Amino acid sequence: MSGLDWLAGAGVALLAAGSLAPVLRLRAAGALTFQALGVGLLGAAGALVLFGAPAIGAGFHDGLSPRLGIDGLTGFFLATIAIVAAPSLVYARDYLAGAARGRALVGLSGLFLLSLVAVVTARDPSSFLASWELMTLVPAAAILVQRSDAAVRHAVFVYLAITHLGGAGVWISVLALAHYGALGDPGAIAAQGSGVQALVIVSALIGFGTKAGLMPMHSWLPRAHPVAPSHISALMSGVMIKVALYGLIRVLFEWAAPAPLWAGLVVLALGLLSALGGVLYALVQHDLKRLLAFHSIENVGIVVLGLGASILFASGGDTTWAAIAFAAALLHILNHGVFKALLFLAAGAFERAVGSLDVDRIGGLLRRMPWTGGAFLIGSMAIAGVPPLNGFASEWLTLQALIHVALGPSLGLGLAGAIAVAGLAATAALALFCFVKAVGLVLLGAPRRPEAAAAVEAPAGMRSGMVFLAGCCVALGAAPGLLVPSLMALAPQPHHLATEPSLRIPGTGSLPSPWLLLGIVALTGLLWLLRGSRRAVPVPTWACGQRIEPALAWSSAGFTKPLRLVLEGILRPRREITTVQEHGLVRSVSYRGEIPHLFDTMLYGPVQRQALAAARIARRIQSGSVRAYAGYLLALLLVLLVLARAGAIG
Amino acid sequence: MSTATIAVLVALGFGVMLARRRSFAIWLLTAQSLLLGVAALTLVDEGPGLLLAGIILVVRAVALPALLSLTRRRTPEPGPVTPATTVVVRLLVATVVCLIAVASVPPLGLGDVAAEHGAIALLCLGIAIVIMRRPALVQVLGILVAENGVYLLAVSVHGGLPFAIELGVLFDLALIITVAAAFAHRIHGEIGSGDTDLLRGLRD
Repeated sequence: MSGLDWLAGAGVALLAAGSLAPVLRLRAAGALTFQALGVGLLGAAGALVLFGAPAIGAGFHDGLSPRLGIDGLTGFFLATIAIVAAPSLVYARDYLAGAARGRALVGLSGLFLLSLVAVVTARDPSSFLASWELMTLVPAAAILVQRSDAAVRHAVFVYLAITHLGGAGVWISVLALAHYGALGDPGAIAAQGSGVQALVIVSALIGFGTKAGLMPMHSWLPRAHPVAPSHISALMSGVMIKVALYGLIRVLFEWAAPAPLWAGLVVLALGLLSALGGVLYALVQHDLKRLLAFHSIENVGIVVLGLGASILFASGGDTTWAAIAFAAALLHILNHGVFKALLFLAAGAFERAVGSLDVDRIGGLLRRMPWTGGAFLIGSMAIAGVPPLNGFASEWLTLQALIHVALGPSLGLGLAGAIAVAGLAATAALALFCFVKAVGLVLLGAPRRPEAAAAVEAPAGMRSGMVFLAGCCVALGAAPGLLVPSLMALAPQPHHLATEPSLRIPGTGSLPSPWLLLGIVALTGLLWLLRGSRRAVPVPTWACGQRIEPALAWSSAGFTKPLRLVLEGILRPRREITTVQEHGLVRSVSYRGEIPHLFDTMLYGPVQRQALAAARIARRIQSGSVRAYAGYLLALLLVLLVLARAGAIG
Repeated sequence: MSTATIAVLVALGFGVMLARRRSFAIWLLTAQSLLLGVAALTLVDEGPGLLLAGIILVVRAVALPALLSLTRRRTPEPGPVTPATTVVVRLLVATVVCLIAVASVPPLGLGDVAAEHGAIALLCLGIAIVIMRRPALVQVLGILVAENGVYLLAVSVHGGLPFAIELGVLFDLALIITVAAAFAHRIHGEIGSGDTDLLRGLRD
């Protein structure tokens, strides 16, 4: 066994030991430390393989005997899991202190991580599918362990129902690949003809796309992520949906490769729909975690835009840009994992301090929680694509790739690329708008309720997890060029790029991100120095003589009102104004507004109604008689025997 | 396995279908399991295989019937449960089901056509017992008759099945019958009878 084998083995052992906390009666803090160390070692092993060490363990095969292994792509995802999970687990040490059923939650956190690691290291269909199912079920259990009121049970039910229905696509795809021997022999699917390849790709898009939160299969995500404990939300949004993208990447770029042109266009369209749809619905959310969940959909869309562009380049024979677009998608996977985990952890700290995540009921937290607020601010700037943070680097790279699709020789592809460029640009602008709202309402202004005024900073453990992730946002934004060449080497047709902190992409301008960061730091320092000892004098806000009340402050709905008016035809907001009058005098006016989720009302609603109607019909055969059920069984057995005898089956 | 043994096994299954008293039906099932277990013992000649066949014989022909007898004693019926159909109809249905099943079964490749036919007949007969009989305990006996059909197939496989599978199936069977006996006891405790038709009122 090599040193890397030992490193990965030690990581798994520590992670497993930490997961057995409820059984071994370990202290929660100790168990979380074990888990963090374990996932850290696994991430280190993955990073070493990513940066050039030889792959370890087994290769992919189509048999049923379980095998595990780490190659470059798995190494990248293990490193991503570690970068997101280790600080989340450190955060959870204080976050779960004193929590009801904390020990069970700790055990489930470790089991969740083990399942995520198992999915990316599985090298056979049975291990892959088993760990895939475990990855779905464990967070549901973690959510229910913490809360089990009717709303949460419904959210978990929707999560399990949609991910399992969609998950059928994963089973079909993986089993079809194994059947044709394509897991161990990439290219076997292409040799089967376009029909089989289309079946595998469409199944994979539905199956993995559902778990990744791609629109229109995303409906579970904004329900499940907000109700989970914050460190689990961070893992779900930061890592789990990326592991689903890992499956999609394996299918599109390895097992069913080369993906045809139509697949590239479909992937591009789904990415664009998710990016724009996600950010639009995020804008109109009041609950901070729900807002973040919709941004996960948006960012998954951005990743998928990169993947779609890579397929289009590859189908046109441009392997250089195929590799760049592929690297852009992987870089955004890592970046989104980092800043989204940071934002969810910060949201958890706010909720713990204030008791609410309604952005209209918080306010003024930057002064009261400077560490958490500062980290949240950095995460918000990163997700909004503000340079020189990491979100900007990967979005810039994706945008460059899409621009090159638009500049391609084919008119149709050029049009698709141009639409995608416009969509991504609009997405970035709307994301910035959304986080101006979130930061303004949560961090700035005056507290809107006594709990916000009395908020205190999160404990050191929670702070350290968030600060580490905020540091990652800066570091990954400052030197993306150190990572991109290794990511380009993972593409089906690798392309070499010089390793340096800045991004120097052939055929386009470079991104001197370290200099950009230095410039901003220098400018800030200069302004700081120039300010000297002068301070702004606080004066009351002019409010036309009215008393200043929290109700007069900006609200989420008020901030986004202009956008809602412009997009009224798409968002279709509902308003309800109730006026109570007595003797001709208006005594009270109440306003209630909501933005219905159109995918729920126009897509899932009719499907659900049809399914219930079919269930009512099917219920007629549910007589409640044991003997009748045995009769169905006997009839089925006899029919199968007759069919077998006739040669129709078997 | 001889054709005569298989015929006796099927005849005992018919007996369970027709028996009026639960105690007699349990005796018939015990006889069937005993005969099948002894026949399986004669088919193996190795030490571990013999030990396994012995364990299966004890569980199927002694432990499970003893459990069911205990359940019967703890769930006395206030009066005979009204049969769903007459004995003649039950006999007719069982015969027709067995004939259809035997006529439909494709070659299973065991090399012993009688065993294949006998196994399928017992399997279908067991399910038919669940359909035609109302007492919960007799329905459990029907499951055991069907399971004896599956075991007949297993012992007819050339070289036998792997020990792990045999033990796994035996464990499952013991678990299922234990749970079913517990349910029969609870049903009797709740409604004062083992008549499963009375459970239809529980449907929402």
